Amino acid sequence: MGRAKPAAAKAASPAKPAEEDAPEPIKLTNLYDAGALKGALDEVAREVVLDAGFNEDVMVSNIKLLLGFTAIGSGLLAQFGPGKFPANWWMVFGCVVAYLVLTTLLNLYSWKVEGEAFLVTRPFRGGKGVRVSSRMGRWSDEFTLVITDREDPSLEVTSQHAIPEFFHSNGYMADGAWRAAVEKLTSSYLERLAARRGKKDD
Amino acid sequence: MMEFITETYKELKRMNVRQFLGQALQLGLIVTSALMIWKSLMLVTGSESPVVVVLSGSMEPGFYRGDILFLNMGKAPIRTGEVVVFNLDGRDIPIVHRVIKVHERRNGTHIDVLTKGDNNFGDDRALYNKGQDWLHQHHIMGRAVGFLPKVGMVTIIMNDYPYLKYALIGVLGLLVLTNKDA
Repeated sequence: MGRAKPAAAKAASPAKPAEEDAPEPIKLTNLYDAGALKGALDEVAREVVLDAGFNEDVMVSNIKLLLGFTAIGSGLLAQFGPGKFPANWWMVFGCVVAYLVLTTLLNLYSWKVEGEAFLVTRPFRGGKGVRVSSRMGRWSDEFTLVITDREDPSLEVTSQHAIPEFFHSNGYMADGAWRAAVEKLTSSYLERLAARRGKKDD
Repeated sequence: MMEFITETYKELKRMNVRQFLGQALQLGLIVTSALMIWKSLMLVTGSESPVVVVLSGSMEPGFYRGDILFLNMGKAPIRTGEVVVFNLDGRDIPIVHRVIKVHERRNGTHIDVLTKGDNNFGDDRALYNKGQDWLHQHHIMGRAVGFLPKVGMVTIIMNDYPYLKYALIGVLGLLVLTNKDA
C-alpha cells in the first residue's frame, strides 16, 4: 500500500508531523509508562482494524453506557431524592441495592462480551466479527496483538512485537511501522477466515 | 503544570464522543461508589450523618477540634450523660454536646432534651433558635459511639480554603478522564 516505511527511515525525520491527514502522531511524555505505551499502540491498532473495513459493534458500548449511567442515576437519586433521611430509609436502601445490581450486571456483561478486548466489531466478510485485544507483560517490552473471531475462539491470529521498534527516543510513535504491522495481522486473519469458509462450503 | 494541562487537552481532543463518555462514566462510577458506601453507612447507623468532624473546642478535654466522631442512632431512649449530635432547624452545621437534662412523657411519645458543651460555661439555650428552650427527638441525629483523634483536620482545612477542595477534585478528575489503563 506504500504506507509501510521501515522504522529506520522514519527515524531520520521525526520532527515532521503527520504525513497522514488529520490527527497528530502520538507523542508520549513518559516512555516508561507501560499503561500509556499499551494505550497508544491499542489506539492506533483500533484505527487500522476499522480502516480495513470492520465496523465497531456499538451495541456493546451502548449497553455498557446505559447500565453505567443508570447506576449513576441511582446514586443521584439516593443523594438528591425527595424526603429527608431517615424517613426515606427504604428509598435510599432501594437505590443502594439498584446500584449494586447494575454495577454487577455491567461488570458481568463487560467480562463476557468484551473480555480483554479493546475493540469488538460487527459481522464482516462472513465472519461474526472480531475481538481485538493485546497483552503486555508487566516488566517486559514485548507486546502481543491478538485478533479473535467472536463466534469461534479457535480462529485466532497473534503477532508479537518488541515495543522499542515502534517508538522514537523523543517520544513520537513510529506510526507507519506499527500500522503496517497491524495491517499484516488483519490481512492474515481475513485470509484464514476466507480459507475456513472455503473449507466449509465444500 | 502548564505541560500537564496542554497534554491533557490534547488527549481529550483525540477522543471521540463515545470514548469520552466511556471515561466520564468511569469517573462517575468512582464517585458514585464512594457515595454509595456513605449511603450504606447511613442506612446501617440510621443516622443522617454517620461520621462528623468536631468543629469547635466546646467538648474539650474529651473531643478536640479536628477529631472524627462515629455516630449511631439506635432505638434506645436518649439519656443524660450521652454525647449526642443535633441539628437545629434551619442550620446545616451539626453540634456535638452532652445531654444534661431529659424530660419524658410517661407514654414515651415526646421528649425534651437540654444539652451543654463540657467546655462551655452555660447550657445550650444560647445556641438554640429564638424562643426554643428544648431539643426534641427529630433534632437528634445520633449518639457518639467512637472517635478517631485529629484525622478530621483535613476536612477543616478543606472547608477553610475551599479552592483547595476544588483544585484537588479537578486534578483527580482529569487524571481519571485521561487514564489509559481501563
